[in-house]
Amino acid sequence: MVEPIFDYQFRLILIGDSTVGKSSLLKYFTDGKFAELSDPTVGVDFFARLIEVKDGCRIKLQLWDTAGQERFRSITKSYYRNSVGALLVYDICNRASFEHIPLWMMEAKRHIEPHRPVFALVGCKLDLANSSNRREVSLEEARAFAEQNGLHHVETSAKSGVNVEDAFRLVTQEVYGRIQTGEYKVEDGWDGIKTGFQRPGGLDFNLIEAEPAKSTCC
Amino acid sequence: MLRGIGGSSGNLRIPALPQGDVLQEPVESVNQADLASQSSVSEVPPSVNAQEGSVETPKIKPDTKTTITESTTSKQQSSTEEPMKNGTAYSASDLKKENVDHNRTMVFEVGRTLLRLISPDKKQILLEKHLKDVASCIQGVKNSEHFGFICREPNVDSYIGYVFKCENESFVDDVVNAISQAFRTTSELQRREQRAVSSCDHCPMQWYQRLCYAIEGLNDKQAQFLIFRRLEGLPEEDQEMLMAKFSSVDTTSVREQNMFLMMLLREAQSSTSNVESAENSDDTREEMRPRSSTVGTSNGETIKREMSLVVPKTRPMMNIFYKVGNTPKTPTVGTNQDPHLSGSWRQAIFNRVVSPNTSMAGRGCSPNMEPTKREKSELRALWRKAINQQVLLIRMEKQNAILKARQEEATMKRIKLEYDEIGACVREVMEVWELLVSKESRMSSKCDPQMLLQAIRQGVPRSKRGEVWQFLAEQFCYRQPPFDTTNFPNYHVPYADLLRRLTSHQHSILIDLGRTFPNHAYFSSPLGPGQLALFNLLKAYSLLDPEVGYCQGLSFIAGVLLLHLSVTTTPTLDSLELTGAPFKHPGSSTTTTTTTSPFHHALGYWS
Repeated sequence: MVEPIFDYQFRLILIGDSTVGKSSLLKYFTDGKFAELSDPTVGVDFFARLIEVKDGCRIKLQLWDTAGQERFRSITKSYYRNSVGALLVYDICNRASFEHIPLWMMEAKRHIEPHRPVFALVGCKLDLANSSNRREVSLEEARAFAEQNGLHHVETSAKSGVNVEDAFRLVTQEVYGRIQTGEYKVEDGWDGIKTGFQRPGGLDFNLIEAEPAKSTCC
Repeated sequence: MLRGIGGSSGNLRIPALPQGDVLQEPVESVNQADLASQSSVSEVPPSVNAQEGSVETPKIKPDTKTTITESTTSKQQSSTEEPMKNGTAYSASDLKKENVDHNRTMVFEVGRTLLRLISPDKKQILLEKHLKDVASCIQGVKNSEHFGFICREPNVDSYIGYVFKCENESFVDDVVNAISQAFRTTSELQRREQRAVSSCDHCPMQWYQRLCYAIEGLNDKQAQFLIFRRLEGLPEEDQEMLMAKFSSVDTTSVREQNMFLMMLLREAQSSTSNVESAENSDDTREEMRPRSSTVGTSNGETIKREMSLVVPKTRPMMNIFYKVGNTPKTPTVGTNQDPHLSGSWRQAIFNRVVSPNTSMAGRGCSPNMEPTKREKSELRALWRKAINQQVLLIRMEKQNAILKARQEEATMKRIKLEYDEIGACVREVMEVWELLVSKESRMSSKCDPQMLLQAIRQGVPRSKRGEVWQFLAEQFCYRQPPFDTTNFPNYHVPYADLLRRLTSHQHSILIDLGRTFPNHAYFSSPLGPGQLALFNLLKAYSLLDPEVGYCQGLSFIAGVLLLHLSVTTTPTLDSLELTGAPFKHPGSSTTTTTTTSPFHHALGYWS
């Protein structure tokens, strides 16, 4: 049998205020690089990366980077529906960006319905917060907010790369977990989750077949 | 009156102020710790008619690029010119605003170590102050749209209060918040640094000592491991140097290697130690002064600053004299070498002409020094000569300035066009375009579309692009029905007037300035001429087209336009029309793409 390049494809979306560091986060995650200056995102941008979850299952992440500026809200909205997870990004050194997180979350929830998306609260610019003491959002506060809303929380730095991998891994693992518990299913007409098997019409079959095989090897 | 003094002040930029916009009031002995004085400052009536707009930087970011990104402007539309009540030693009349017309929209940048007042119009920095020199900052109590700060002048041994009037209270709030946040950050860093100094943590010999203690009693392998670990904490150059020396040793014994390493370290550290201890004493000395931290400066700079504080103590009085624009009560020392010369500037000119090299003593205030009385006619002739020469001098200076400006313009034009092209176009195309763009073809309103298309497909040489785009925009307009201006209330407002207004998009615009072609020389310097020009253009556009306002991505289009066209040479709506007209396509509705599409066409053709 031909080994598929990936077992699943998850579509994730990054949202948050302008200049919090969404693009930089993605750039580090997909490229391993950090750019001092990055262009403002116009509309949406697109990245992809393959990662493995704990049991060796390969997942292709399709990552949608959105423009934070209010003006693009109408464009970015249409990208919510086909996402299975959303990274709510704020800037640790910018209080306002954290205060807007509930708004972003509500908006995402509303548009991803009826699906229940996996959220992760991601603080950016940790290096800046640590090196020059410019932190405006405390770790405890963000944690508390995350717990209250049942989100994962992680503080990252796209400059040093701290926790960047974790942020995406957390979401991926969670989505994968929900597939295994049966909460998420591959659906026609929804691009949040797709399988990598290219057998026409055999989606369900693949799902059933693939999973027991995985569980036996672990 | 303030203008002529530009060169005389060391690091103060005030003399370059247009028409003495910022009034300065020397405040005597204001101490940061002295809370009473702070409150008294706040009560100072806004008599000081400084004005400008304010602006704020909600976030304080590292100096490099960020500062720009997060500031906003405001401007004040009408400023009152009340006379000084708290009259210290000068009258306000000297500082009257000469030109009521000029644009008062200013950008006030609060950086991590600097406060800057920038005029986006003139693309000048009007005021630059180090945060460490600022003693206090406060909002007006009775006049809450004012704020002020008191600043130690490094050259003058005194403090000066700067008072600004903003358009409204909220700007003041923002500014004061930003400044106090900057204070906190600075003092935090300062405290950290002090702690470091007191425990002498960064003293290299101390470091060495601790390493010695640490490796005592360890076996050779462990000791070496520890030494290497500690080595990693040293500056990179030191590491490299040590490792280079270390690698030259050929011994296999770990113990010997360790000994050699420690010897190298001792050498290296004790050599730097002397320097640093000297600097430490500088630091402590400086800490005695209010708000003069050593924050953010490398050790080398500390010394330099110290020097600049101590050495030129004599000159500074002159600055304040000039700035205030009044005669000093006390004779000043320094640049003005003749203490007797207390006459007017006229006399100074006269003296310079009459006796260029001889001592000027004796004129004016000490008439008994005058050797011979001159005839009236002789004096008159001398005066005439003096005036003539002065006039000539001024004329020549003007010519020089024009020449210099022209050169700068040429270099700027060259810099602007320095970018990579995907494909160069052939020489002959240049001629085709020259023909097309030439006056005759412009006069005959419409140009043959086929010919135009043909030319566009061959490309536009970069030096012609500005002109050609302007031409294409005109052509586009000919083909369109007359533009409906109902949705554009500001359509007929001149560019210069638009710049005087405020836009609600300023924050978004400023955020993106640093992210627009950051690698291009013209746009690379934070709040430099390029970025300010971009800011102006985007601001004007956001006012012109309220429906679109500012939208991310527009900055790139505006940036490209600025590289090829100049706003200053056509101060009328022309240049804006070029950018504006194509955007203002009747179909321009909500989304970005449609809004700019006609212009995209123009750009698209040549690329």
